[in-house]
Amino acid sequence: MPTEPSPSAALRTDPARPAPAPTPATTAAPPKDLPNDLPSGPPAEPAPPRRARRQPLGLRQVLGLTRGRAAVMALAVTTSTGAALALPAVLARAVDAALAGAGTRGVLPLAGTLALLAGSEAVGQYAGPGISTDATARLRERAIHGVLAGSPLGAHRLPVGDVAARLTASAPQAALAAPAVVYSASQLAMAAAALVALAVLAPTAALAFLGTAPLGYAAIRRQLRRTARLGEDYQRTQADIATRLLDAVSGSRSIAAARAVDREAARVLRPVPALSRHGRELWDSQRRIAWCSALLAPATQLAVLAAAGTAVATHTLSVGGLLAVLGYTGIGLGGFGAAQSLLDVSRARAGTARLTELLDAPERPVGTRPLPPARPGAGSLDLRGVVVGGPGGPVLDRLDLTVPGGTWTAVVGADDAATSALAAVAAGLLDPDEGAVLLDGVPLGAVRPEELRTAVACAFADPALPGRTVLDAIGLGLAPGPDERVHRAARAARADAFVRRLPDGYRTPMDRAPFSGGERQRLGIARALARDARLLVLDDATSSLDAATENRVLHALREAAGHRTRLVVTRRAAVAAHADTVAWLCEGRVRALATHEELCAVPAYRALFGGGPQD
Amino acid sequence: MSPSRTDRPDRPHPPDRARPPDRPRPPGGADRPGRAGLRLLRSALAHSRPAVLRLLTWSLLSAAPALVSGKALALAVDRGFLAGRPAQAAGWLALFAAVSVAGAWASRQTYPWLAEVVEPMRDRLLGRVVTGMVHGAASARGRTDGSGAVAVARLTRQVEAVRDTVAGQLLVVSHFALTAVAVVAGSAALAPAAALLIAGPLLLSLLAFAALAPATVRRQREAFAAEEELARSCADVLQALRDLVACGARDEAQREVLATVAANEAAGRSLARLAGARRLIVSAGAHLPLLLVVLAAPTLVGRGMTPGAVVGVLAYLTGTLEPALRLLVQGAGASWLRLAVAADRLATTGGHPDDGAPGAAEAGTAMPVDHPDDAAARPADGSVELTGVSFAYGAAADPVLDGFDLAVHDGEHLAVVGPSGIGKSTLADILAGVVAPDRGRVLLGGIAPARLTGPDLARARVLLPQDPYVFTGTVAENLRWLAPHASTAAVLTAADAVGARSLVERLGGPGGHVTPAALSAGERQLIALARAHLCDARLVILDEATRHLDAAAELRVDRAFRDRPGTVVTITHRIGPARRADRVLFLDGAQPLLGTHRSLLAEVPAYRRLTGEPEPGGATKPSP
Repeated sequence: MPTEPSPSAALRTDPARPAPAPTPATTAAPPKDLPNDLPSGPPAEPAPPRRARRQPLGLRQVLGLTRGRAAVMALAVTTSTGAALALPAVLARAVDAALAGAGTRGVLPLAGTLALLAGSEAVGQYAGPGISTDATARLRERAIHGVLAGSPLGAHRLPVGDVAARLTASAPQAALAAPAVVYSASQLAMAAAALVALAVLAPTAALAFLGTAPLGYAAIRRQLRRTARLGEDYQRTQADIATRLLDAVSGSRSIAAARAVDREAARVLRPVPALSRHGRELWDSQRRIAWCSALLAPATQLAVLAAAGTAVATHTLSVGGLLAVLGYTGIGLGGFGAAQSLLDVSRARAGTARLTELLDAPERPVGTRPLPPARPGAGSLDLRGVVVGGPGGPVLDRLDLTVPGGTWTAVVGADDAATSALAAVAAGLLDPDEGAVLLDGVPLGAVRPEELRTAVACAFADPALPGRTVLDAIGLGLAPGPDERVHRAARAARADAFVRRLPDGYRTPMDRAPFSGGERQRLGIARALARDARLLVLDDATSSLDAATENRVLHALREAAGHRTRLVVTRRAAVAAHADTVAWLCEGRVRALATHEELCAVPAYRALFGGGPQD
Repeated sequence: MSPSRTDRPDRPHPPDRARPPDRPRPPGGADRPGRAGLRLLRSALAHSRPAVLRLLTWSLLSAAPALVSGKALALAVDRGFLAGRPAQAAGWLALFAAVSVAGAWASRQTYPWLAEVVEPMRDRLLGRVVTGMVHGAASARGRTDGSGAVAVARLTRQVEAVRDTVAGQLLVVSHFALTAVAVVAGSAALAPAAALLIAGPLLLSLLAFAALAPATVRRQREAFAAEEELARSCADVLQALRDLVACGARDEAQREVLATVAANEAAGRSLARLAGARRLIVSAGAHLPLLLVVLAAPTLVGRGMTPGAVVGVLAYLTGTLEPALRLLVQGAGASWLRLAVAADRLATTGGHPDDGAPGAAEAGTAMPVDHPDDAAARPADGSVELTGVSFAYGAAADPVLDGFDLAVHDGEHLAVVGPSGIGKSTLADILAGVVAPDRGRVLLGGIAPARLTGPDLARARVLLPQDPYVFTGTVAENLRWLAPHASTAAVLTAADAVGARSLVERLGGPGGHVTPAALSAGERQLIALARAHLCDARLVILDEATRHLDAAAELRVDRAFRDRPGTVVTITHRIGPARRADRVLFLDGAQPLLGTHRSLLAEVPAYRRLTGEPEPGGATKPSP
């Protein structure tokens, strides 16, 4: 008699679920505030004014990603459902034949049914995770396209760790949609069909089933909900521990110096007792589910058996029929599995919602026009009526600025957001809301991307330095060429000496070379100098250098990059003094365009560099 | 919770990319992932033996209905329904019902004991991972970056995977073993010949399952690795997106990320194929016996097997064995593999740095080990003396310091200035005794740091790095971090002195709650500065500790530490602190120069350039 004191539905590892997905109830969602410590864009960066399109991605779209395969799976599941439904009847006839001495007449249909069942279920078992895998990959691809094709500055609005978590955890969760829908539908259909079969075989048995089963279903569903709620408490505590761990990892140098490693590990682990408590509550909740289902199944079976047995006694049901009744009862009870599958559907919906923001990032159009060939004097930059919005009104407000080719212009201003926005717009990293930015007469947005990136080079205050080795990091995006090009750029940026001090010099892996902020800035400048760009944009890119090093870098900028147009955002008088012309930004426009000496006559200009008291 | 020493994995593992890179481990032979999982399971069982015993006992009782069900059903059919005696049938069914309820009750009792095994195991595992990670970060000395966040998220997820799968293993495997035994024994009681027909295919399918395991482990492991790689490459690219776009390298980076997506897909697909194969194993184990029993039924019945016994045996097969086998092969099998792989991954992260990994003792970069051979040794004062100190970041690298001498007197204020990247932070670490020099001698108050115990060293000096440690907790907890017994008045005075009073008040006073992520870099520095001001250390080393403060706030901090008794070494890229210091150490790469601000200004052109003297106001900048 089928009793199945099985571990609860919530604990059960659903074979239909792709194995790498972490078990749902207690998966750690990375805490919201975790990635805040990640290096992201400069905080002064203005938020692009465009609203992300809020066109929620629905389950329907996710299902549409794998329509063909889902159909195969549905077919397999339908076949296996049919075979599973036929099995008790076929088995009953085979048994009756055997008991009646009719030999093995019923064996062939039984063997056929079993083979069909095994085959179609195997296909279903392959197709389910296969579809999830497929949908996961499609969702991830789309999300990656969406995130990377958006504005390179706007992408930083979602913390990096958050995006990574959504890609790794939410995408597979959303991709559960198709299998979960197919399974819940088939489970419900099977339960209904089993009930009909019961009614045909022994109407009293069907009534007995209907009398007992729904009660248990309601109880189990309530418990599943409670478990989900407890799971959230558990996750919150987990997130607390993760946040504390990240604090400790970020402050590891202080901790090492204070010889407080063990003490701080203990501090990170302080919420563990609470976690334990929540964990035990979860187990308690699962215990209730198990108890409910453990009582439900035998109770239903006994009621059905009693009814069917009476039918056998009155010869309205054969012995094989009794087996069939038992089988259909089992299938009917299997319909409760739909509760789990339906939970999966709602989890898929939640995962889809978390992905929506990534998929809806507005895409930037790709340019197609070439630039005029580079010749002496090329690289003239023309900003016309440029408007860039910000959270509190425009950051750049109909700004006009012309930078002749081959000249050096410094950009200063009290508002860092405005100067940074100007640098980003001039480098083609940020599209202005209004107005035009022309490089040698061609709007930046219309230039072919690969040509634009050869023509314009940038350096930042907080450069990110992707690349495996130091050499790769400086030569990022360059066509293959001699190392000497990189060495020369590094020498000009005063980076050569400290790079050569590394264990493997230029071949040192970046993750084995802890650089200071000033060193990173110099590597960033070297990276910009290594390409033969006609326009060089430096956004506060020497801010962490001491005055002496900065002075040397600026001299190199004059000597090694003398033929290029240079646009240098700065907060230091020394840097402004190096430029041919200074553009002084005020209230989103150019207030004055003159040499540093000329502007120094204006007290408000001098106040920009006033700094603090110097005793 | 301190890491246990008995269950710690004892072998180093192949390097993990997400690990802090500064502690290379020898690329040991690839350990079979199953071992780490087994070790973990064994340790969980060993730690809670009484709970495990109780768990097993209740599981055993919960399998009793399976044992009884076939016989009861057979008797109900044969002696009751077929014999026209419904009352007797009802009796047998009632017996079965009673046993079922008892079994359900027994399985209900398993959960608290399961929690008793699994929860402490998770706690221990978490303790080990956290301790290992904090230790690793502390000895890595690297700058922290985004990979920390990703690694933390990954580790917590894997600890959870282990918790869930261990529980699944304990429940499912024991349940299956008991059920299989009950089915075979129950069938044997009904018809010995039928038992053979069941046991044969069942054994065969279990063998097939075992044969499939190595391939599954391999693919599962690939799937895990692919997912980690995806998270890592995605985080890397997003962090650098602006720069990738600016350098025209975005498309290439995108191709790399998409390649990891494709690798994930391939891994998922091969796992799916295995899932299909496993379903066939279930068929072989549960459905083949069904067919065999039906085939043999005429013969068996001819030899006197009753119809009830046939029903009983078939009910065993369809109702009890099939679900249990399915759970084992399709569910628990996969979950065991996940456990094995996750445990293996965790084993590479957990553990102390002194775990025996030979790489941990690298010259220079490792913290000096506490060997207090003279327990009474205490620094006499706040002086610090370096004699012939040399230090380099590797055998091939140019030395950062070479035969360096320095004596700072008790109560003196020394400013260390110099171009970035010249080794100022390394000097700070050596002065604080955090890092041992390759050669030469360091004396803190006349005593070598290695001769001090950890707590004594921590009391003797305080090092404030550029990225301060602020933790989730109250303001007072944060400020008392180095001086646990300081009074509230002293805490407030220290906060006042460094200019952190308004911050403390904004946070709700000493009892207010600190959320580090909600504070700006400057505010975090203020908390760390107040903390240093409050402690008793006679030597204070500030390594760019006022970097995120504006000039006025920096001046206030400077004065606060001037009024505080003891030695102060300020490492800075700004000139303000140098003007105010007693002496200035100027590092310019060639020759360290020691003098006063005035004397250096007069005699050293490089120093004059560094201070930006020709540039009015050029050396300071407004706060960000």
